[in-house]
Amino acid sequence: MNPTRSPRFTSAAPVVLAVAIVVALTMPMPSAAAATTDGLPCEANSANTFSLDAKAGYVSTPDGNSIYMWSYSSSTKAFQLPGPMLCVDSGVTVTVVLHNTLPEATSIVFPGQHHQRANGHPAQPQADTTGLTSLTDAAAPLTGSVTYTFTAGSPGTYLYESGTDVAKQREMGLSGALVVRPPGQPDHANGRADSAFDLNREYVYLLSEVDPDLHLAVERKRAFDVTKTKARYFFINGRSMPDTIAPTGAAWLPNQPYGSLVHLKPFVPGDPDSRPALVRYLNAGSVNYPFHPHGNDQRVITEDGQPVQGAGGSDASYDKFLIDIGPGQSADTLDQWVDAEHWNGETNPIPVPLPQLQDQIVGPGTETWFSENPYLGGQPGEVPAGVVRNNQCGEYYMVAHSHALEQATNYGASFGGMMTLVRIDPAAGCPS
Amino acid sequence: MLQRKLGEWWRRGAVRIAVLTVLVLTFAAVLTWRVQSSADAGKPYQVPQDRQLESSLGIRIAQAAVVADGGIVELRYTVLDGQKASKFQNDVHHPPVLRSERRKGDVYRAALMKQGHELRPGQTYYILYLNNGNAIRSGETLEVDAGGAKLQHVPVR
Ligand SMILES: [Cu+2]
Repeated sequence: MNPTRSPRFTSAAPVVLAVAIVVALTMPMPSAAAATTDGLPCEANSANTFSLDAKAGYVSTPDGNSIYMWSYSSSTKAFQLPGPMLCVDSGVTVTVVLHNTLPEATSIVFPGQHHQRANGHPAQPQADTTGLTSLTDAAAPLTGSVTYTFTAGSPGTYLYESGTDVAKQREMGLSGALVVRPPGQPDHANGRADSAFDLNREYVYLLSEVDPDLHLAVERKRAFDVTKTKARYFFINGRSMPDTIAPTGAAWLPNQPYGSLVHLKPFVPGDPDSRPALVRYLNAGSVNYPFHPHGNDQRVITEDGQPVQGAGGSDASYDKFLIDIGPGQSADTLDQWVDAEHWNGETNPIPVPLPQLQDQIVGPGTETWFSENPYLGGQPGEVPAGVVRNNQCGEYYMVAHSHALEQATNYGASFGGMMTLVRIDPAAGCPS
Repeated sequence: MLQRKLGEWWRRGAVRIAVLTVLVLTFAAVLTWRVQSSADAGKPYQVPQDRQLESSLGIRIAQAAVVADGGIVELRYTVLDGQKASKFQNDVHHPPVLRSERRKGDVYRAALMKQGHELRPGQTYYILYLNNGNAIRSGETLEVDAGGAKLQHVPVR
């Protein structure tokens, strides 16, 4: 070899190759690797401009059904239910361009937002000789388009939804969440200092329901009386239990991207990084959903985009074990799990009285129905021979579900529907 | 000093060719492996079917998945024969055992099972298990051991 020939290039070659190998090893893969809940999957951009297609698609339910739905999707992405979670700052001008691909006129209303305009003029209810046809300017069937602008309202959680043939189009799925943040304070639920939360522990529960008979009728272009619906499926973010606890972006739910597992760590007193989770409830349906997180109250701090406070800004937030959300309403709640008994594996193990072995339903095999582990990962208690533990790492789960139990079913089969889990990890985390 | 020594060493053609060859081959191997596993990830999800299990238990296993940020394993099954499936479903003392085919570890403790009601043929139901010590992981395979019947190589989503 001639040592004088492009020495810079050849001596750079091994470095380039080494970098290429590292890149190839670490490049993200479209695998089914377990994703963890880590903050809100927001659609956001500096121009606060969103392009949404109203279109038709299918979702799956855990009992094996497939349902024809209408929803809003980002124009660059596939059909999804519910519409994308739009995140903006309070006071900014937001532009939403609606492209209609549905066989009938449709529109979007933004309850709680200011200065709503459509195609440059103040948004107006539409009427014909038969009366009101739409709560706002609508996009014509198949190819119509409307550009809406508004000024984002006070910090909180809002619906955006169809304003046209509302009873039918809401039921068909045309809704999504609009998250309005205090400017410069994305980790606060509203303008109040006591509304701080952990941005990695932020969740939306968009609650809705489906009568599959209506959806079949719409798909087959048959008449249907919307006053006679009977809901059979009940969704959190377009999914039913157990899909609700599947990861956000799960491969087997390509059109239902959003999970609703709430994943907490115990509160650490005095640690400024130890903050509560924020759960944003929204009712996109037509009846109340009395939602009940087991085992732990949640603190209601914002209702319909207004901080819960008294005269002179005094804190009027309150703890609830049942968050009853009416149609079109929203509530933001702080969820903080406090180790009230000061558990410590060595000095304060909080012994759990162990039931008689026969009361643990130990089968002829290794089956047991008692949590042998002390909670939050202490020394394992008495377990059948060969059994080390009965959970991943000492974490535990609390159910959260609609307390109207017919809403916690998949077409009558319990449990399912409007139900999810709250997971609490040991303070030291959960090694995987 | 060290830099100069390395420089001299590098200018020796044979060493250079050997190092570059190893790196090029490693790069090719890594790329092939990554692209291959990404192709696997894009494959349609398919659970093996077993006549014997289906006829004795009246169910067909439809999916195994790791959910709840890794802490829970979901087993989904479609009912073929309502009567047999009810017997299987109602035996809460002996839920199917899930056994990792990659590492030592079973999961057997059902956290949530369907409550009561008749089982409709064609409908899909589920059992949730606590994922003991991370025994079951996404992207691997497991064996379902149910009432004497076994189903191997069930891919975990
Ligand atoms: Cu309950």
